[in-house]
Amino acid sequence: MQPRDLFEILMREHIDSVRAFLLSSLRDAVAAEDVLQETFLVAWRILDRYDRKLPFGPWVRGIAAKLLLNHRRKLGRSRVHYCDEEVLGRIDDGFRAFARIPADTFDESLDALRDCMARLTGPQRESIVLHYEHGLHCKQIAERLGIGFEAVKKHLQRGRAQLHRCLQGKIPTEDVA
Amino acid sequence: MSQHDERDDDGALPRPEEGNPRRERGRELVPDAWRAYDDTLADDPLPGDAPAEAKDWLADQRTMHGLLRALHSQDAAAREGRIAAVLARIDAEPAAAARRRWFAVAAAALLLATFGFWALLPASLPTASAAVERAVQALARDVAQRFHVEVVRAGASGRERARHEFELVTSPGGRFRLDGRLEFGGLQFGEFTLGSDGAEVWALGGNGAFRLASPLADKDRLQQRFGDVIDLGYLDVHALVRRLPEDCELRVVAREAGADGRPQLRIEAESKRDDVRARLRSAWLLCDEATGMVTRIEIDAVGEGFSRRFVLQHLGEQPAGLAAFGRPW
Repeated sequence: MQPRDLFEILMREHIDSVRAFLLSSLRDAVAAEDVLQETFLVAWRILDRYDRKLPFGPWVRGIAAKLLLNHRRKLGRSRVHYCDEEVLGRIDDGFRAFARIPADTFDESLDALRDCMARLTGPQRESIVLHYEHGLHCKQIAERLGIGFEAVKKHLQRGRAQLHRCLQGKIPTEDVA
Repeated sequence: MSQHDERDDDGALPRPEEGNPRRERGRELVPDAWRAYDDTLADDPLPGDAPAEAKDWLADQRTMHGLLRALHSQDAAAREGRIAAVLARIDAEPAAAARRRWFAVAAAALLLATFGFWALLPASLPTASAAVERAVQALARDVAQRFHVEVVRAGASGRERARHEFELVTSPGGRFRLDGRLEFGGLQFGEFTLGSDGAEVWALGGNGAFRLASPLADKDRLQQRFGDVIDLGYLDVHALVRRLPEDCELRVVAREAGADGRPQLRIEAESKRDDVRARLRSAWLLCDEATGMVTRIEIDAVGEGFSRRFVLQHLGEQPAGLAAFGRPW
Protein backbone atom coordinates (compact mmCIF):
# COMPACT_ATOMS: atom_id res chain seq x y z
CA MET A 1 0.00 0.00 0.00
CA GLN A 2 1.30 3.43 -0.94
CA PRO A 3 1.82 5.92 1.94
CA ARG A 4 -0.78 8.26 0.47
CA ASP A 5 -3.38 5.47 0.39
CA LEU A 6 -2.61 4.52 3.98
CA PHE A 7 -2.81 8.17 4.99
CA GLU A 8 -6.19 8.61 3.32
CA ILE A 9 -7.53 5.61 5.26
CA LEU A 10 -6.22 7.01 8.54
CA MET A 11 -7.55 10.47 7.73
CA ARG A 12 -11.02 9.12 6.90
CA GLU A 13 -11.04 7.28 10.22
CA HIS A 14 -9.94 10.20 12.36
CA ILE A 15 -10.89 13.46 10.65
CA ASP A 16 -14.22 13.78 12.49
CA SER A 17 -12.71 13.30 15.95
CA VAL A 18 -9.90 15.75 15.20
CA ARG A 19 -12.46 18.27 13.98
CA ALA A 20 -14.47 17.85 17.20
CA PHE A 21 -11.24 18.25 19.19
CA LEU A 22 -10.56 21.54 17.37
CA LEU A 23 -14.15 22.70 17.83
CA SER A 24 -13.66 22.31 21.58
CA SER A 25 -11.11 25.13 21.49
CA LEU A 26 -11.76 27.33 18.45
CA ARG A 27 -14.61 29.80 18.47
CA ASP A 28 -14.87 30.05 14.71
CA ALA A 29 -15.92 26.94 12.77
CA VAL A 30 -14.21 28.28 9.64
CA ALA A 31 -10.93 28.65 11.54
CA ALA A 32 -11.41 25.08 12.76
CA GLU A 33 -11.65 23.95 9.11
CA ASP A 34 -8.38 25.74 8.34
CA VAL A 35 -6.53 24.26 11.33
CA LEU A 36 -8.00 20.84 10.54
CA GLN A 37 -6.54 20.94 7.03
CA GLU A 38 -3.24 22.19 8.41
CA THR A 39 -3.17 19.39 10.99
CA PHE A 40 -3.48 16.65 8.39
CA LEU A 41 -1.06 18.37 6.07
CA VAL A 42 1.56 18.47 8.86
CA ALA A 43 0.73 14.85 9.74
CA TRP A 44 1.39 13.88 6.10
CA ARG A 45 4.70 15.73 6.06
CA ILE A 46 5.95 13.97 9.20
CA LEU A 47 4.22 10.66 8.65
CA ASP A 48 7.58 8.87 8.83
CA ARG A 49 7.75 9.86 12.51
CA TYR A 50 4.46 8.13 13.31
CA ASP A 51 4.96 4.86 15.16
CA ARG A 52 2.43 2.51 13.56
CA LYS A 53 2.27 0.42 16.72
CA LEU A 54 0.58 3.33 18.49
CA PRO A 55 -2.94 4.63 17.82
CA PHE A 56 -3.09 7.33 15.16
CA GLY A 57 -5.82 9.44 16.82
CA PRO A 58 -3.80 10.73 19.82
CA TRP A 59 -0.79 11.33 17.55
CA VAL A 60 -2.71 13.50 15.10
CA ARG A 61 -4.57 15.28 17.90
CA GLY A 62 -1.15 16.05 19.39
CA ILE A 63 -0.31 17.87 16.15
CA ALA A 64 -3.66 19.66 16.29
CA ALA A 65 -2.93 20.73 19.88
CA LYS A 66 0.43 22.26 18.88
CA LEU A 67 -1.22 24.13 16.01
CA LEU A 68 -3.92 25.36 18.38
CA LEU A 69 -1.32 26.76 20.76
CA ASN A 70 0.46 28.45 17.84
CA HIS A 71 -2.87 29.78 16.61
CA ARG A 72 -3.61 31.19 20.05
CA ARG A 73 -0.21 32.89 20.20
CA LYS A 74 -0.61 34.38 16.73
CA LEU A 75 -4.27 35.40 16.77
CA GLY A 76 -4.79 36.05 20.45
CA ARG A 77 -7.12 34.76 23.10
CA SER A 78 -10.26 36.16 21.51
CA ARG A 79 -10.10 33.55 18.74
CA VAL A 80 -9.08 30.47 20.73
CA HIS A 81 -10.64 29.40 24.02
CA TYR A 82 -8.48 29.16 27.08
CA CYS A 83 -5.92 26.46 26.56
CA ASP A 84 -2.52 25.44 27.69
CA GLU A 85 -0.74 22.12 27.21
CA GLU A 86 -2.29 20.74 30.38
CA VAL A 87 -5.88 21.58 29.45
CA LEU A 88 -5.40 20.36 25.89
CA GLY A 89 -3.90 17.13 27.25
CA ARG A 90 -6.96 16.59 29.44
CA ILE A 91 -9.32 17.35 26.56
CA ASP A 92 -7.38 14.76 24.58
CA ASP A 93 -7.95 12.32 27.47
CA GLY A 94 -11.66 13.01 27.04
CA PHE A 95 -11.45 12.16 23.35
CA ARG A 96 -9.46 8.99 24.09
CA ALA A 97 -12.23 7.95 26.48
CA PHE A 98 -14.88 8.82 23.90
CA ALA A 99 -13.08 6.63 21.36
CA ARG A 100 -13.52 3.64 23.70
CA ILE A 101 -17.30 3.76 23.35
CA PRO A 102 -18.10 0.65 21.28
CA ALA A 103 -18.72 1.88 17.73
CA ASP A 104 -17.21 1.47 14.28
CA THR A 105 -17.11 5.13 13.38
CA PHE A 106 -17.02 8.49 15.10
CA ASP A 107 -20.57 9.14 13.91
CA GLU A 108 -21.70 5.91 15.54
CA SER A 109 -19.97 7.02 18.74
CA LEU A 110 -21.99 10.21 18.50
CA ASP A 111 -25.11 8.02 18.71
CA ALA A 112 -24.14 7.53 22.36
CA LEU A 113 -24.23 11.30 22.80
CA ARG A 114 -27.57 11.46 20.98
CA ASP A 115 -28.87 8.87 23.41
CA CYS A 116 -27.61 10.90 26.37
CA MET A 117 -29.22 14.02 24.87
CA ALA A 118 -32.53 12.17 24.63
CA ARG A 119 -32.35 11.54 28.38
CA LEU A 120 -31.53 15.11 29.28
CA THR A 121 -34.55 17.03 30.52
CA GLY A 122 -35.71 20.43 31.70
CA PRO A 123 -34.00 23.76 31.16
CA GLN A 124 -30.62 22.07 30.72
CA ARG A 125 -31.90 20.21 27.69
CA GLU A 126 -33.66 23.34 26.37
CA SER A 127 -30.50 25.41 26.79
CA ILE A 128 -28.29 22.80 25.11
CA VAL A 129 -30.70 22.42 22.18
CA LEU A 130 -31.11 26.18 21.70
CA HIS A 131 -27.36 26.81 21.94
CA TYR A 132 -25.93 23.95 19.91
CA GLU A 133 -28.76 23.02 17.56
CA HIS A 134 -30.26 26.44 16.92
CA GLY A 135 -27.07 28.44 17.38
CA LEU A 136 -28.54 30.89 19.91
CA HIS A 137 -26.28 32.93 22.15
CA CYS A 138 -26.76 32.75 25.93
CA LYS A 139 -28.44 36.16 25.90
CA GLN A 140 -30.96 35.04 23.30
CA ILE A 141 -31.62 31.83 25.25
CA ALA A 142 -32.17 33.88 28.38
CA GLU A 143 -34.77 35.98 26.55
CA ARG A 144 -36.40 32.90 25.07
CA LEU A 145 -36.62 31.06 28.41
CA GLY A 146 -37.33 34.16 30.48
CA ILE A 147 -34.40 33.59 32.81
CA GLY A 148 -31.14 35.36 33.53
CA PHE A 149 -27.93 35.18 31.51
CA GLU A 150 -26.00 33.54 34.35
CA ALA A 151 -28.75 30.96 34.83
CA VAL A 152 -28.43 29.99 31.16
CA LYS A 153 -24.68 29.55 31.54
CA LYS A 154 -25.24 27.29 34.54
CA HIS A 155 -27.85 25.22 32.69
CA LEU A 156 -25.46 24.78 29.78
CA GLN A 157 -22.55 23.85 32.02
CA ARG A 158 -24.65 21.46 34.08
CA GLY A 159 -26.15 19.97 30.94
CA ARG A 160 -22.68 19.35 29.56
CA ALA A 161 -21.59 17.84 32.88
CA GLN A 162 -24.58 15.48 32.82
CA LEU A 163 -23.88 14.48 29.25
CA HIS A 164 -20.25 13.86 30.17
CA ARG A 165 -21.24 11.56 33.02
CA CYS A 166 -23.76 9.81 30.83
CA LEU A 167 -21.07 9.15 28.20
CA GLN A 168 -18.68 7.84 30.84
CA GLY A 169 -21.37 5.34 31.75
CA LYS A 170 -21.27 4.04 28.19
CA ILE A 171 -17.56 3.18 28.28
CA PRO A 172 -17.17 -0.54 28.95
CA THR A 173 -16.36 -1.09 32.63
CA GLU A 174 -13.07 -2.85 32.01
CA ASP A 175 -11.88 0.22 30.08
CA VAL A 176 -12.62 2.74 32.78
CA ALA A 177 -9.44 3.60 34.61
CA MET B 1 -23.28 6.65 38.45
CA SER B 2 -26.23 8.92 38.81
CA GLN B 3 -26.71 10.66 35.50
CA HIS B 4 -30.01 12.42 35.50
CA ASP B 5 -30.80 13.79 38.89
CA GLU B 6 -29.49 17.30 38.50
CA ARG B 7 -32.08 19.87 39.45
CA ASP B 8 -32.25 23.51 38.73
CA ASP B 9 -32.22 24.52 42.36
CA ASP B 10 -28.81 26.02 42.59
CA GLY B 11 -29.82 28.74 45.00
CA ALA B 12 -31.15 26.22 47.50
CA LEU B 13 -27.96 24.26 47.69
CA PRO B 14 -24.97 25.01 49.86
CA ARG B 15 -21.91 26.31 48.04
CA PRO B 16 -18.83 24.09 48.01
CA GLU B 17 -15.59 25.34 49.36
CA GLU B 18 -13.52 27.18 46.78
CA GLY B 19 -11.42 24.75 44.77
CA ASN B 20 -13.18 21.76 46.22
CA PRO B 21 -15.99 20.51 44.00
CA ARG B 22 -18.25 17.88 45.46
CA ARG B 23 -21.36 15.99 44.55
CA GLU B 24 -24.59 16.45 46.42
CA ARG B 25 -27.74 14.46 45.65
CA GLY B 26 -26.01 13.22 42.50
CA ARG B 27 -25.28 16.72 41.33
CA GLU B 28 -21.86 18.20 40.82
CA LEU B 29 -21.35 21.42 42.71
CA VAL B 30 -18.79 23.62 41.09
CA PRO B 31 -17.33 26.77 42.60
CA ASP B 32 -18.79 29.79 40.84
CA ALA B 33 -15.28 31.07 40.27
CA TRP B 34 -14.57 28.09 38.04
CA ARG B 35 -17.56 28.78 35.84
CA ALA B 36 -15.92 32.01 34.73
CA TYR B 37 -13.03 30.04 33.22
CA ASP B 38 -15.38 28.43 30.73
CA ASP B 39 -15.05 31.06 28.02
CA THR B 40 -17.08 29.05 25.52
CA LEU B 41 -20.14 30.92 26.79
CA ALA B 42 -18.63 34.40 26.93
CA ASP B 43 -17.76 36.85 24.21
CA ASP B 44 -14.51 37.86 25.83
CA PRO B 45 -11.42 35.81 26.65
CA LEU B 46 -10.42 35.03 30.21
CA PRO B 47 -8.57 37.74 32.01
CA GLY B 48 -5.94 35.29 33.30
CA ASP B 49 -4.96 31.64 33.58
CA ALA B 50 -7.27 28.99 34.97
CA PRO B 51 -6.18 27.56 38.35
CA ALA B 52 -4.83 24.01 38.32
CA GLU B 53 -7.74 22.64 40.36
CA ALA B 54 -10.27 23.88 37.78
CA LYS B 55 -8.60 22.29 34.79
CA ASP B 56 -10.21 18.85 34.96
CA TRP B 57 -13.68 20.38 35.09
CA LEU B 58 -12.79 22.87 32.37
CA ALA B 59 -11.43 20.11 30.11
CA ASP B 60 -14.60 18.02 30.59
CA GLN B 61 -16.73 21.05 29.69
CA ARG B 62 -14.66 21.74 26.59
CA THR B 63 -14.68 18.10 25.50
CA MET B 64 -18.47 18.12 25.59
CA HIS B 65 -18.52 21.53 23.89
CA GLY B 66 -16.51 20.10 20.98
CA LEU B 67 -18.58 16.93 20.78
CA LEU B 68 -21.87 18.86 20.84
CA ARG B 69 -20.68 21.24 18.13
CA ALA B 70 -19.58 18.26 16.05
CA LEU B 71 -22.87 16.49 16.68
CA HIS B 72 -24.83 19.42 15.28
CA SER B 73 -22.63 20.02 12.26
CA GLN B 74 -22.35 16.47 10.90
CA ASP B 75 -22.57 16.65 7.14
CA ALA B 76 -21.41 13.83 4.89
CA ALA B 77 -20.87 16.10 1.88
CA ALA B 78 -18.85 18.57 3.94
CA ARG B 79 -16.77 15.69 5.28
CA GLU B 80 -15.93 14.52 1.78
CA GLY B 81 -15.09 18.12 0.88
CA ARG B 82 -12.65 18.30 3.80
CA ILE B 83 -10.95 15.06 2.85
CA ALA B 84 -10.75 16.12 -0.80
CA ALA B 85 -9.28 19.50 0.19
CA VAL B 86 -6.54 17.88 2.31
CA LEU B 87 -5.72 15.34 -0.40
CA ALA B 88 -5.57 18.15 -2.97
CA ARG B 89 -3.08 20.02 -0.79
CA ILE B 90 -1.04 16.86 -0.25
CA ASP B 91 -0.94 16.30 -4.00
CA ALA B 92 0.15 19.90 -4.47
CA GLU B 93 3.15 19.44 -2.18
CA PRO B 94 6.40 20.16 -4.07
CA ALA B 95 7.85 16.66 -3.77
CA ALA B 96 4.72 15.00 -5.01
CA ALA B 97 4.30 17.60 -7.71
CA ALA B 98 7.80 16.98 -9.03
CA ARG B 99 7.16 13.26 -9.28
CA ARG B 100 4.02 13.83 -11.24
CA ARG B 101 5.12 16.72 -13.42
CA TRP B 102 5.95 14.69 -16.51
CA PHE B 103 2.67 12.83 -16.21
CA ALA B 104 0.66 16.02 -15.72
CA VAL B 105 2.11 17.65 -18.82
CA ALA B 106 1.37 14.62 -20.95
CA ALA B 107 -2.09 14.15 -19.49
CA ALA B 108 -2.95 17.83 -19.89
CA ALA B 109 -2.01 17.81 -23.55
CA LEU B 110 -4.04 14.70 -24.14
CA LEU B 111 -7.09 15.97 -22.28
CA LEU B 112 -6.96 19.38 -23.93
CA ALA B 113 -6.88 17.75 -27.32
CA THR B 114 -9.63 15.29 -26.47
CA PHE B 115 -12.16 16.86 -24.18
CA GLY B 116 -11.53 20.56 -24.08
CA PHE B 117 -10.40 22.80 -21.32
CA TRP B 118 -12.90 22.16 -18.59
CA ALA B 119 -12.06 18.49 -18.43
CA LEU B 120 -8.67 19.53 -17.06
CA LEU B 121 -10.16 20.40 -13.71
CA PRO B 122 -8.49 18.75 -10.76
CA ALA B 123 -10.03 15.44 -9.87
CA SER B 124 -10.35 16.63 -6.29
CA LEU B 125 -13.20 19.00 -7.07
CA PRO B 126 -16.29 17.76 -5.24
CA THR B 127 -19.33 16.80 -7.23
CA ALA B 128 -21.85 19.53 -7.94
CA SER B 129 -24.57 17.63 -6.14
CA ALA B 130 -22.41 17.44 -2.99
CA ALA B 131 -21.56 21.14 -3.19
CA VAL B 132 -25.18 22.17 -3.75
CA GLU B 133 -26.32 19.87 -0.95
CA ARG B 134 -23.87 21.65 1.38
CA ALA B 135 -25.27 24.99 0.26
CA VAL B 136 -28.80 23.76 0.93
CA GLN B 137 -27.73 22.65 4.41
CA ALA B 138 -26.11 26.02 5.09
CA LEU B 139 -29.25 27.85 3.96
CA ALA B 140 -31.49 25.48 5.94
CA ARG B 141 -30.15 26.82 9.24
CA ASP B 142 -32.73 28.88 11.05
CA VAL B 143 -30.76 32.05 10.44
CA ALA B 144 -31.76 35.08 8.36
CA GLN B 145 -29.34 35.66 5.47
CA ARG B 146 -28.83 39.03 3.79
CA PHE B 147 -28.33 39.44 0.06
CA HIS B 148 -27.93 42.38 -2.29
CA VAL B 149 -30.21 41.75 -5.26
CA GLU B 150 -29.86 43.26 -8.71
CA VAL B 151 -32.46 42.64 -11.41
CA VAL B 152 -31.66 43.72 -14.97
CA ARG B 153 -34.42 43.41 -17.53
CA ALA B 154 -33.75 43.53 -21.26
CA GLY B 155 -36.03 43.48 -24.28
CA ALA B 156 -36.04 40.93 -27.06
CA SER B 157 -33.21 42.84 -28.74
CA GLY B 158 -31.08 42.47 -25.65
CA ARG B 159 -31.19 46.20 -24.88
CA GLU B 160 -31.40 46.97 -21.16
CA ARG B 161 -34.80 48.36 -20.21
CA ALA B 162 -34.75 48.48 -16.45
CA ARG B 163 -32.42 47.88 -13.54
CA HIS B 164 -33.54 47.50 -9.95
CA GLU B 165 -31.55 46.97 -6.78
CA PHE B 166 -32.88 45.59 -3.52
CA GLU B 167 -31.83 44.33 -0.13
CA LEU B 168 -33.14 40.85 0.58
CA VAL B 169 -33.35 39.10 3.95
CA THR B 170 -34.36 35.47 3.64
CA SER B 171 -34.87 32.50 5.92
CA PRO B 172 -35.91 28.92 5.25
CA GLY B 173 -39.60 28.16 5.27
CA GLY B 174 -40.59 30.62 2.54
CA ARG B 175 -39.77 33.67 4.66
CA PHE B 176 -38.27 36.72 2.98
CA ARG B 177 -38.34 40.49 2.93
CA LEU B 178 -37.20 42.59 -0.02
CA ASP B 179 -36.64 46.35 0.31
CA GLY B 180 -35.78 48.82 -2.46
CA ARG B 181 -37.15 51.29 -4.96
CA LEU B 182 -39.43 50.12 -7.70
CA GLU B 183 -40.81 51.51 -10.93
CA PHE B 184 -42.45 49.86 -13.86
CA GLY B 185 -44.93 50.71 -16.58
CA GLY B 186 -44.13 54.39 -16.07
CA LEU B 187 -45.33 54.24 -12.46
CA GLN B 188 -42.97 55.31 -9.72
CA PHE B 189 -43.63 53.30 -6.63
CA GLY B 190 -40.72 54.75 -4.70
CA GLU B 191 -39.80 52.79 -1.62
CA PHE B 192 -41.12 49.29 -1.99
CA THR B 193 -41.22 46.34 0.36
CA LEU B 194 -42.22 42.82 -0.49
CA GLY B 195 -42.36 40.12 2.14
CA SER B 196 -43.54 36.69 3.09
CA ASP B 197 -43.88 35.11 6.50
CA GLY B 198 -44.12 31.64 5.00
CA ALA B 199 -47.93 31.69 4.83
CA GLU B 200 -48.78 35.05 3.28
CA VAL B 201 -46.98 37.16 0.73
CA TRP B 202 -47.48 40.90 0.89
CA ALA B 203 -46.32 44.10 -0.78
CA LEU B 204 -46.21 47.68 0.41
CA GLY B 205 -45.31 50.67 -1.77
CA GLY B 206 -46.11 54.28 -2.64
CA ASN B 207 -45.73 55.44 0.96
CA GLY B 208 -48.39 53.01 2.06
CA ALA B 209 -50.82 53.81 -0.76
CA PHE B 210 -50.13 50.50 -2.43
CA ARG B 211 -50.88 47.42 -0.34
CA LEU B 212 -51.37 43.88 -1.40
CA ALA B 213 -51.52 40.61 0.47
CA SER B 214 -52.23 37.13 -0.69
CA PRO B 215 -51.77 33.57 0.55
CA LEU B 216 -48.35 32.33 -0.47
CA ALA B 217 -50.05 29.54 -2.42
CA ASP B 218 -51.54 32.23 -4.71
CA LYS B 219 -48.23 33.97 -5.30
CA ASP B 220 -48.50 33.55 -9.07
CA ARG B 221 -51.48 35.89 -9.08
CA LEU B 222 -49.57 38.45 -7.06
CA GLN B 223 -46.56 37.94 -9.28
CA GLN B 224 -48.52 39.19 -12.30
CA ARG B 225 -49.14 42.49 -10.53
CA PHE B 226 -45.42 43.24 -10.58
CA GLY B 227 -45.14 43.05 -14.33
CA ASP B 228 -42.50 40.35 -14.07
CA VAL B 229 -40.02 42.77 -12.49
CA ILE B 230 -39.46 40.37 -9.64
CA ASP B 231 -39.73 36.63 -9.62
CA LEU B 232 -41.00 35.67 -6.19
CA GLY B 233 -39.58 32.18 -6.63
CA TYR B 234 -36.04 33.52 -6.41
CA LEU B 235 -36.52 35.29 -3.09
CA ASP B 236 -36.75 32.11 -1.04
CA VAL B 237 -33.07 31.37 -1.63
CA HIS B 238 -33.13 28.12 0.32
CA ALA B 239 -35.93 26.74 -1.88
CA LEU B 240 -34.28 28.14 -5.01
CA VAL B 241 -30.99 26.32 -4.36
CA ARG B 242 -32.78 23.17 -3.16
CA ARG B 243 -34.71 22.96 -6.45
CA LEU B 244 -31.64 23.36 -8.65
CA PRO B 245 -30.62 19.66 -8.84
CA GLU B 246 -34.18 18.82 -9.89
CA ASP B 247 -34.51 21.55 -12.51
CA CYS B 248 -30.97 21.82 -13.84
CA GLU B 249 -27.92 19.94 -14.93
CA LEU B 250 -25.19 20.94 -12.49
CA ARG B 251 -21.43 20.81 -12.67
CA VAL B 252 -18.54 22.25 -10.69
CA VAL B 253 -16.42 24.12 -13.20
CA ALA B 254 -13.74 25.78 -11.08
CA ARG B 255 -12.24 26.39 -7.70
CA GLU B 256 -11.37 30.07 -7.40
CA ALA B 257 -10.36 32.54 -4.72
CA GLY B 258 -13.01 34.92 -3.43
CA ALA B 259 -12.39 38.59 -2.67
CA ASP B 260 -11.15 37.58 0.78
CA GLY B 261 -8.89 34.88 -0.66
CA ARG B 262 -11.04 31.99 0.55
CA PRO B 263 -11.55 29.13 -1.90
CA GLN B 264 -14.90 29.07 -3.61
CA LEU B 265 -16.48 26.56 -5.94
CA ARG B 266 -18.10 27.80 -9.14
CA ILE B 267 -21.09 25.69 -10.08
CA GLU B 268 -22.91 26.01 -13.38
CA ALA B 269 -26.56 25.11 -13.80
CA GLU B 270 -28.32 24.60 -17.12
CA SER B 271 -32.06 24.14 -17.24
CA LYS B 272 -33.12 20.60 -18.10
CA ARG B 273 -36.24 21.96 -19.78
CA ASP B 274 -35.90 23.32 -23.29
CA ASP B 275 -39.42 24.67 -23.73
CA VAL B 276 -39.74 28.45 -23.88
CA ARG B 277 -41.93 28.58 -20.77
CA ALA B 278 -39.02 27.43 -18.64
CA ARG B 279 -38.07 30.80 -17.16
CA LEU B 280 -34.72 29.85 -15.65
CA ARG B 281 -32.39 29.11 -18.55
CA SER B 282 -29.08 28.99 -16.77
CA ALA B 283 -27.44 30.03 -13.54
CA TRP B 284 -24.16 29.89 -11.76
CA LEU B 285 -23.32 29.88 -8.09
CA LEU B 286 -20.26 30.52 -6.00
CA CYS B 287 -20.07 28.53 -2.79
CA ASP B 288 -17.57 29.05 0.02
CA GLU B 289 -15.69 25.76 0.13
CA ALA B 290 -15.13 25.83 3.88
CA THR B 291 -18.65 26.69 4.99
CA GLY B 292 -20.65 25.51 2.00
CA MET B 293 -22.57 28.81 2.01
CA VAL B 294 -23.65 30.35 -1.27
CA THR B 295 -21.85 33.66 -1.75
CA ARG B 296 -23.23 34.66 -5.17
CA ILE B 297 -25.92 33.49 -7.53
CA GLU B 298 -26.53 34.75 -11.06
CA ILE B 299 -29.63 33.62 -12.92
CA ASP B 300 -30.53 34.17 -16.55
CA ALA B 301 -34.25 33.90 -17.09
CA VAL B 302 -36.47 34.51 -20.09
CA GLY B 303 -40.09 35.46 -20.58
CA GLU B 304 -42.21 36.40 -23.54
CA GLY B 305 -40.24 39.10 -25.33
CA PHE B 306 -37.80 39.82 -22.53
CA SER B 307 -34.85 38.40 -20.67
CA ARG B 308 -33.81 39.06 -17.13
CA ARG B 309 -30.61 38.69 -15.14
CA PHE B 310 -31.04 38.20 -11.44
CA VAL B 311 -27.94 38.57 -9.24
CA LEU B 312 -27.82 37.77 -5.52
CA GLN B 313 -24.70 38.70 -3.59
CA HIS B 314 -24.48 37.33 -0.05
CA LEU B 315 -23.84 40.06 2.53
CA GLY B 316 -23.85 37.99 5.71
CA GLU B 317 -26.24 36.97 8.42
CA GLN B 318 -28.93 39.26 9.77
CA PRO B 319 -28.60 39.59 13.54
CA ALA B 320 -31.28 37.61 15.33
CA GLY B 321 -34.33 39.65 16.20
CA LEU B 322 -33.91 42.13 13.35
CA ALA B 323 -35.60 40.05 10.68
CA ALA B 324 -39.34 40.81 10.41
CA PHE B 325 -41.21 38.86 7.78
CA GLY B 326 -44.81 39.55 8.79
CA ARG B 327 -47.16 42.02 7.12
CA PRO B 328 -46.53 45.45 8.69
CA TRP B 329 -50.15 46.57 8.64
